[in-house]
Amino acid sequence: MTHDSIPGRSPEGMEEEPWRIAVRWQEYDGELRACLLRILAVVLMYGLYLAQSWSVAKTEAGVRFHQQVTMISIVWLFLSLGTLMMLRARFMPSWMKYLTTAIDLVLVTLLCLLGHGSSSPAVMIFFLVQALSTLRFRVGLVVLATVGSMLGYMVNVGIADDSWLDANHATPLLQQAITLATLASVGLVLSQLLHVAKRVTLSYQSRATSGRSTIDG
Amino acid sequence: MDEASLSTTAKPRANVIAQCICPKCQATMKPTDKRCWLCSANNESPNAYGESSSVIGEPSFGEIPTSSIVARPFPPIESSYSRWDIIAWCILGLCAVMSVLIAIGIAVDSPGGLIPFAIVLVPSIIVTLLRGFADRGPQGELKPQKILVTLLISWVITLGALFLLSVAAVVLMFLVCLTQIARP
Repeated sequence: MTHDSIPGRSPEGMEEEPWRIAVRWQEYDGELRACLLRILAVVLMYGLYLAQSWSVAKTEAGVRFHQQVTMISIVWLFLSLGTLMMLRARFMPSWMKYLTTAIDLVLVTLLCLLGHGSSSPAVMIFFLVQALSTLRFRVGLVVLATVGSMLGYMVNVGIADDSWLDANHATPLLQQAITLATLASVGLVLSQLLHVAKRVTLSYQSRATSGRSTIDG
Repeated sequence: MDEASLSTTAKPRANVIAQCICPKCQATMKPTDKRCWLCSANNESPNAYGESSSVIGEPSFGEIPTSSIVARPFPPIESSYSRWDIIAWCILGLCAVMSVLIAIGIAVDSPGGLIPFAIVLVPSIIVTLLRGFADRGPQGELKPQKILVTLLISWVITLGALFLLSVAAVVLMFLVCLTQIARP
């Protein structure tokens, strides 16, 4: 594919300035939405965990796990609040979205590790991290979220397994393959969605411009 | 130029927000900022409206008269203060729910843990409420953004103070042990 065929890019391969600015505004708006949704997700999931833990018999390990989950939730909450304060103070460097996504991935991986590893329900949160990355409208970020999710999942699989290169696996191979394939597919779909949104925007712009010139005569 | 026209050119300064607009991306910023926080344009950029900055020593971004904000074709997104107010209320609500959930979580496993939790939470809530009610608008309305910032700052100060106290306690313990060992 040549550069000419990529919408929003000049022949030199540089991103066109109006498109770059439009994407930066979307990054700002997306980061803001991601913060709010992250806080909402933390509150919701902590509430669900609390409701579930109510019915479970208390053990020493259970109490320790409960404290760890509470600490992770508080760290997540403070991460979102800190990001929000930075946005309010108009501090939004280009690396901020990558940092917040990387911290999200580390915290999800940690949460899975503290729980049941690769079979923990917290594995589903990787999909949420992927979806949140789309809000910032950068394909690179979606790639980071996808690759990071796959790595995070594999860390959980690897730690649960005593010996990697034998026939016995703590997580069945089919389950590993399907989870990895699903994470990769979701990442692919989300990045395609960004490309489509870009194409639709530019198509709309060109049609609106040509329509106006026809009316103007 | 007569005296009347001089006064009209001098007067609009009272009608000017202490913010500048980037000619490239229309983001608002402080007049002292050297670069645009959004598109990284520097302050040598020409003004989007064909004006040069009237303030000596300030960047050449145009100042925004309050009357001209509405007339702009692309108003800056972050200038909608009500949006930030709604966000601040949402976050305050979510923080309150999360605090209650954490308190329940602590109470379920170790009720004694509620004491340090209350030590962190209660002073910050009191300070936030007092400052929030003292710093109300002219109509008596609360300012959610200020309340949120006060709450966060008081949390950070409380946690920082607790951390420093813990470090001081450890150092004190270490010194006491050293003196006990050194004693003949």
